[in-house]
Amino acid sequence: MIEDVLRRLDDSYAVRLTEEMIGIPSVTGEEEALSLYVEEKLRSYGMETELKYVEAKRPNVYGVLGGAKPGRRLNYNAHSDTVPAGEGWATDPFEAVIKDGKIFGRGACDMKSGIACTLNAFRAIADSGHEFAGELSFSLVVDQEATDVGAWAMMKDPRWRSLDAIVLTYSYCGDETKPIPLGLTGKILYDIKVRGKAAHGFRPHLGVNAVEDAAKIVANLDGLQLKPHPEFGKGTHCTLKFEGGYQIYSVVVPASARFEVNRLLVPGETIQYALDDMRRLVDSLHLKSEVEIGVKPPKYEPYTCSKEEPLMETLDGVYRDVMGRPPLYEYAYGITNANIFQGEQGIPCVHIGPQRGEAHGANEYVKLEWLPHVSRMYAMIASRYLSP
Amino acid sequence: MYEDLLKKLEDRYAVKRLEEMIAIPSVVKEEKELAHYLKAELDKLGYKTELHEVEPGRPNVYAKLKGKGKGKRLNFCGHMDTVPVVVGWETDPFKPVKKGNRLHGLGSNDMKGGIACTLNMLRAFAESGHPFGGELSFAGVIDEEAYGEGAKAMLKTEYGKVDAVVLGEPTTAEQGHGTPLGITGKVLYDIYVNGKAAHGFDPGAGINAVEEAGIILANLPGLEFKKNPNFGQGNYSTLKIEGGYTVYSVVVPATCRIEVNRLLVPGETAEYAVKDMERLIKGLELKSAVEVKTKPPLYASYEMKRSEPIVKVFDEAYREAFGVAPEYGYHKSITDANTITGEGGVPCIHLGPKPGGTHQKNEYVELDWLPRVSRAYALIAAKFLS
Repeated sequence: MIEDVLRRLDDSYAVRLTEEMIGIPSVTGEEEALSLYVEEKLRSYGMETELKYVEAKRPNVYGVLGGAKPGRRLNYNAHSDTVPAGEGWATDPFEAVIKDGKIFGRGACDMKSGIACTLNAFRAIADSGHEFAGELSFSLVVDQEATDVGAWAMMKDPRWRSLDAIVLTYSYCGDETKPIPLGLTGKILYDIKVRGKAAHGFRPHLGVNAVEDAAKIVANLDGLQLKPHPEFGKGTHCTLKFEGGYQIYSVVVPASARFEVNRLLVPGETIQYALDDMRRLVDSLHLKSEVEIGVKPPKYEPYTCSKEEPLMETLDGVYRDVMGRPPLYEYAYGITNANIFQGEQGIPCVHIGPQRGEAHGANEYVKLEWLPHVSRMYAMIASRYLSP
Repeated sequence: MYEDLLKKLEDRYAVKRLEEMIAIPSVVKEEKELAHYLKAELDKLGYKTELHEVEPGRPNVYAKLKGKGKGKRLNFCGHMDTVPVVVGWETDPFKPVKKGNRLHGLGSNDMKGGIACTLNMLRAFAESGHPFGGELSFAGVIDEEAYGEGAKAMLKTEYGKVDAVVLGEPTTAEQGHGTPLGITGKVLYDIYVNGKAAHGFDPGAGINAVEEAGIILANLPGLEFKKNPNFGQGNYSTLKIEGGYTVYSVVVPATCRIEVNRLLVPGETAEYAVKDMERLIKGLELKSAVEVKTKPPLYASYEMKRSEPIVKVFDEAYREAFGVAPEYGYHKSITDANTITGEGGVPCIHLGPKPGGTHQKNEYVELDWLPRVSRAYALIAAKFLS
């Protein structure tokens, strides 16, 4: 039966869709046109579709194909947005150009080719009448390159919160360029406000200098207790911003300062742990200022998954069959929507997609040779995971 | 022996001029109209006057009266500018309002009161024909409440080469408000920390300029403040820090800038302060490239001896005018004396009406101080130029 599905995969269709989608700019905040395009495709395969607006002109798209009998519910997830074009392109970033076996254009690998391969696989499954159990669905969410309002909105919906597993069509292709993640770091953005007391700058002893107290915290961040994880090692911290002091020149002891610190979390470190850890560090400095430790979005919980998890096992087998070798795995320093789906919600996730080329950079591309492999893997993963 | 001079002092004249000057707004940068007013008044009194543009539309005003024969040169200096109007005034800040012994108005105290007493004294010299040697002069300067550009410009003229200056700042030389025998200087460090950008998830690949700036600030107690027997030690205050993203992105900041104010005591120059900061930073072994610069305003410190001729004359005149000995002190606030004495080496005495709400709402001067200060000015001038 799967042979019938695989016969219906059309490599030129996946290439054409990738080209068409590169021609529909979808920089974060402007995802509507691409969303409508994808929804129309899903509907044309006979899937039940839904456009759900997360914000004005920013819809998530869902498409569902029901199985022959009850069973697992598997979703393929992609994000519709891309980062802006940026400078330095040799060609128009919003017009696909095929050269030297590569498709160039913004979103080529991140992640319009992943969407194209998914559509290719879904079309083949739908057209073949392939029998499966449970439910096969697709979700295309907005805002992944910013603060993930799309993925968060999806997880508020009981229908999607109760999925059994999710395949993320990211460019983790299982070779040395991007091994398959067995877990992802999380992150927190500390937003720390320090309040001292103003005084004339010639009499600093009469005030409490908020900038200097904040600097003492920043200078002592190495005192954060980053927990070691056997696979990830330790997280990291990085001060991203620091502001305090006069707007219009005046010799005044600053009464307030604010700084932001990004911290990567490894499994075993929760957001709450990170907050408590910073509080402990700050308290140990015995500052005269009042220190308020807050967090700003985005924040992500870390997670790990087991190789024995059914979807991960399925991916491993399919990868060997299609690529002729086992995939490489890693514990990855990075953030994807899986931090929300698995890290927050506990839904098992795998990442698999075409190898990336200059993602986020100028002259982003995807190699044509990856599209047939990935389309094939997507079809086989669905078929095996949802086998009746 | 000064009766002819003192007789010509007139309280009503001082009050009238003060009221007129309050009614001429002269918030810093807008000193022009008051400069013209002072020039006209001094012309009328028979002084040789001159307007001298420091910046376009911002003149200093100078006036002088030559004595008989050679002698010392004494200048009375006042800044014409005031601070801006703060909120909360109960009366129009540009309208003189008398309430009992108090005359309210912006600048009534800082320092149009001192200028009014100076005019009173200058008029008495002109009208009495009291004999003196050398030269008696006046300088009305701009910008004291900002960067002190008026005094800096004065220093480059003949008025910067006088033998002594009397500043009419609100300083009474009473107990607790001693007239300064010295003032601290200051330097404003402007420190640029240059690190290296990298993705914020991989901070080891970059050099975090903000964190290294934080290390500098956390180590500022390691600055070496020289001890001065009169002042003790200077101090520092970090005034500003800025570094990191403008539009949110997870990037190791490549640059950060900090500003630190440092008070200097005599024995510490701006060059010393820069070298001291460079020494401190070098000892921290940071990975960033750090540039230690300074920003205006920069002020030199100074101290004077009690035996300085203008100090001795002031001491004597004060006792005669007030019936008590003056108090002295060493101050930590900046005046035009930092330029005139600190940079120019011309000794300076501060004397003026008692402070009343300086830089605050409802600023006022106590009117009974005007005759006493006028009298002290006349005695200082007459004795110094005798």
